Amino acid sequence: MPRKDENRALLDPYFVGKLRRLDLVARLVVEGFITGLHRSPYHGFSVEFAEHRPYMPGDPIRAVDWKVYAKSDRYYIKEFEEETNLRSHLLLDTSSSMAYRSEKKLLTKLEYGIYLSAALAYLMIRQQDAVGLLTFDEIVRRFVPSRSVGTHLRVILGELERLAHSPKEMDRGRRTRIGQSLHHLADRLTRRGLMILVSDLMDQPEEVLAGLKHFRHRQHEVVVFHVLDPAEVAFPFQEETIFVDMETDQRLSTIPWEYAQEYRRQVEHWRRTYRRVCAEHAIDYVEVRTDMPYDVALLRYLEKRRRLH
Amino acid sequence: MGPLTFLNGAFLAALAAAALPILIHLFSRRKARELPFSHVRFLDEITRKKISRMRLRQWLLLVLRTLAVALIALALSQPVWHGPGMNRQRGSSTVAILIDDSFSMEARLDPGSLLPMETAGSGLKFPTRFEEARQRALQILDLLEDGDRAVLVFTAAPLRVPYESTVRDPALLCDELERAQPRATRSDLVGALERIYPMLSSARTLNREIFIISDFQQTQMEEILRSLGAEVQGTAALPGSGAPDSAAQGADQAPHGIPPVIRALVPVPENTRLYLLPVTAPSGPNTAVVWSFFERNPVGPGGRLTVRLHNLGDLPVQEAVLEVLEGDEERLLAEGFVSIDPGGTAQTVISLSQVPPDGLLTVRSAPDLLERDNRFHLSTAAANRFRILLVTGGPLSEPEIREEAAFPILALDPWGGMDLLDAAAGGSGAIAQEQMGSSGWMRERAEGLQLFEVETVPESDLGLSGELSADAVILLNVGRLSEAASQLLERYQAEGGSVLIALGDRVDPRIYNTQILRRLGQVRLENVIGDLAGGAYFSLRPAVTGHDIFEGFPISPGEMLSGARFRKLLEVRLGGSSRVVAEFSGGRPALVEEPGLLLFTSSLDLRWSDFPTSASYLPFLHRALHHLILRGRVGRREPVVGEPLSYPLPADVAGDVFRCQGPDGIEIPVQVTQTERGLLLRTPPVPDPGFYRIVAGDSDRLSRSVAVNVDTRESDLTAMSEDEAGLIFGSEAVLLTPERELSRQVLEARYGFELWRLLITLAFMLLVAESLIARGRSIY
Repeated sequence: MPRKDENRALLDPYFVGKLRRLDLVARLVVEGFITGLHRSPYHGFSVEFAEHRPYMPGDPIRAVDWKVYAKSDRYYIKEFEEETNLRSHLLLDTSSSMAYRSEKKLLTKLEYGIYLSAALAYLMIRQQDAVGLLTFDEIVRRFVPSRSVGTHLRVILGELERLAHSPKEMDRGRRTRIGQSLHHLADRLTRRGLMILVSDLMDQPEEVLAGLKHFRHRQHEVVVFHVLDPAEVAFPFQEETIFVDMETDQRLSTIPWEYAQEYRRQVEHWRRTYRRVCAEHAIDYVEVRTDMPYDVALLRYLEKRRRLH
Repeated sequence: MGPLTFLNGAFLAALAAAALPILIHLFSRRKARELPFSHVRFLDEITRKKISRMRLRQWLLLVLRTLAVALIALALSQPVWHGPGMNRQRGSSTVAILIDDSFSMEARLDPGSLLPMETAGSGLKFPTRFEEARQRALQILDLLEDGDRAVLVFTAAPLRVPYESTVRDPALLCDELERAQPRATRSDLVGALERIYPMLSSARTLNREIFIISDFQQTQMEEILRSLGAEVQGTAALPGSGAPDSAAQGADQAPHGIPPVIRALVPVPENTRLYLLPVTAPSGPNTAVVWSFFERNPVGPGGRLTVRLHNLGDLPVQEAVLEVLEGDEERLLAEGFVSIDPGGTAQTVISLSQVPPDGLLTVRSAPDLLERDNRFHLSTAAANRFRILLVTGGPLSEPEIREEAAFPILALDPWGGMDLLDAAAGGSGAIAQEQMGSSGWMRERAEGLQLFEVETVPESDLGLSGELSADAVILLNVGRLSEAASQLLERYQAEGGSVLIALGDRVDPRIYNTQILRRLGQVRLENVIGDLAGGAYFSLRPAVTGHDIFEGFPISPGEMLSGARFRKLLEVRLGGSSRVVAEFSGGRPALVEEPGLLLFTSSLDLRWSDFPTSASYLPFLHRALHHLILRGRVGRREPVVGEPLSYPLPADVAGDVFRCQGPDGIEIPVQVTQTERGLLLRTPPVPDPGFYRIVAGDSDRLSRSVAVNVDTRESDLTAMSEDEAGLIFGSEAVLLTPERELSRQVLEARYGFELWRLLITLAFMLLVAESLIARGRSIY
């Protein structure tokens, strides 16, 4: 078993980014994470009650609800929901803006999102939760329905792996329409569950938030992992630069030192808007940066999971 | 001078540096790189909101930086504002005072002078020009303030500069001025200006001023024009002389209606004010003894003294007394009288019954405005003869040349000439001594009476010497002259020398006219006439009755000069200034006179005539040269003050130590050097007029007495006109006459405000503003 500081290294995005196999990444991340936790997450799983039905010959005696017999003098059998765990969906944004990274030693936002999704999927399957995967940009690109069987993990990781090695030309021109995609999903996923959105949310906040509210309306629990590159927040550029928008190809000549203050102010406002509106609608909003260890994200997931049970 | 001047104008070029911020701006713009970014939404919004303000700020920064650099460059060029509003600002000054201490400044002023009259003895004595010049110089020094610097130059040659660089303490210069007295030399104004040029050019004060205090003699102007050389030859035609191009020579192009700026011909540094302070006075009686010559009586103890005087005043001189004084004690030996018209020259002859043993005479004329030129010193010693340079058609060692040169040589200098010919023929050079006996008494006596001494030079070597010092030059049957030799002769003639030309077989009229006569006169040679049929010949006779040359010839008007028969001669075409003095039979010119030139149209040897063997040959040649020399402007026969003395020494004194004793017993250092021509004794420039005795040191044996006189070109007190001064010193020179208040004129011009401090402050403020505006970047 790795030691604790080694465990931390397993959570470092840069370190795990060097590993080729996604299943290995997911396992290392999760094991490293779990080993570092003080409290075990493996408890508290309950069986959900479904209905009572009249006893039929052949039914096991132990299934008879004696409390009901005592009250009604009839034999009823207590039936439960099937013994499955939480149903979750990982919603991964694959728009062009997610291909951004400010430094070579950092992961792109998409890579970060893929590893994070892989780790989450691994963790969920280990907890007997059902997990599904949905990738989108302007439209929904891939949809893997949620299942809790162990083999399903391989399906999801395979899908993520394919995404991680997608051609570079995918990095340009794919715009984000989160709001639209979320609405679409909310209509489709009727069974309530946990929606985990991994995105840089580069869309109009109103539309994004409307989509998230739609999920809430459908009784879904929602966790948003807002993935950002550190440079997108700090805006550290010093030389005169022509910025090229990765989604729209729009070019903008700027004198960064003149823009920096106003930029930071606007980005802060934008982030605060997400944080505030999510809080108002009981949506977990987690901001992660591509230089942050994964445990922050995983911990937030587990906290959410615990609250749900 | 405009309202804005620059003390260090070269730095104006640094204004180009103001373009640097613009260049940097343009250069850096090209470096913008493209960078993919996840989104430009926020940047786009910011751009829309801030772009106009940012652009304004960028432009403001650019303007501030450009202005700051420009102001610094401008400050380095040290601009000075003389315009309105600056009347109370007074800039620092560097002042050069050039005070003329030549002997013309000894002239006395009239009672209208600035200075109060002072009584001396029984009569009234007026201050001299120099004393007034000194007062004006003191006034200028009085105007100096703390931080000002000054330099003082006494302009008489050799220049005297008490302090080699500018001094802060005017008292030092005042002391020098109080002690100074005029010197016996001429003024060297151009040299003085050249001397102060570097001092003023390097001065970094607001004001740079040159004050020339002088009597601004017209002769000085001619001297300046000559010293400045060929480039200003055209300007000798002065304004007012009607020459249309004269002003344009030194003038800048100027628009119509504005008088053109005439640049100074003398060297004046840029941005330097030139003040002319003339110290002149109304003319009065002023005569100068310019020349004197003593001819020993061949049969008696005395001789006759020819004295030439100029009347430089504007009043006629009537029967003025001339005194001939003897030796250092100046005992009166004889008297003469002379009358001269204003501006004229007169020559008089005074008979002396005896000459002092040392042969030293001083001629003194009546007292007048300028005392120093009323005396003329001369030595009647044996060596005091006319020196004749005989230019021959080839070297004397050739028999043919020797044959044709022998007659004039022996006619002019029989004893020395005989040695000369003998030496040229390869002999010992002592024929005369052998023939006349070993004692040589006869030669000694005869040489005492001799009027000429002859030196010869082949035509090919004439151009090699830099200067001709002979009293007259004879061109004897010379075929051609080099360009350098022709120029040398032309210069010699222009400076007062005389040339006698005699012809012969070697003469080609065409070459002669183009090479020689074109430079020396207006007469031109034409065809050769000769070898007349039937043995016919030409006779020589005077063409002008009573001409100086024929004085003493016992002939009547129209009578032949001699029985000499001339077989060959050259016809001539006379010029405007030509005068036929003697003619051959048939009216053909024989001796043509022009200023500084005599042309004999036949030969002086036996090839074309038997003239050399006739009785009239010797007196004709003597009288012709005598006339030529005496009529010429020969004023440099004796050395003048301010020039070194230089004499060849005989070879047998090589071991002796020589001393030179000047007037009043002053010792002049001498230097004896070995040259190609033998030993040469040389002194530094001599400071005073009078007798200088060169003595062999060990025995005190008198070797030679030399009379030194003042240069009488300085005697002409006529001042140059304002126009002439404008030509020499430029139209921007300020004339400060005594009537104009000196202090007001000078101080007004010194007002001005040096802007560099203001500009540096402004530039600093702009840079502070720039950094404040640009600071936004670092905050971000």
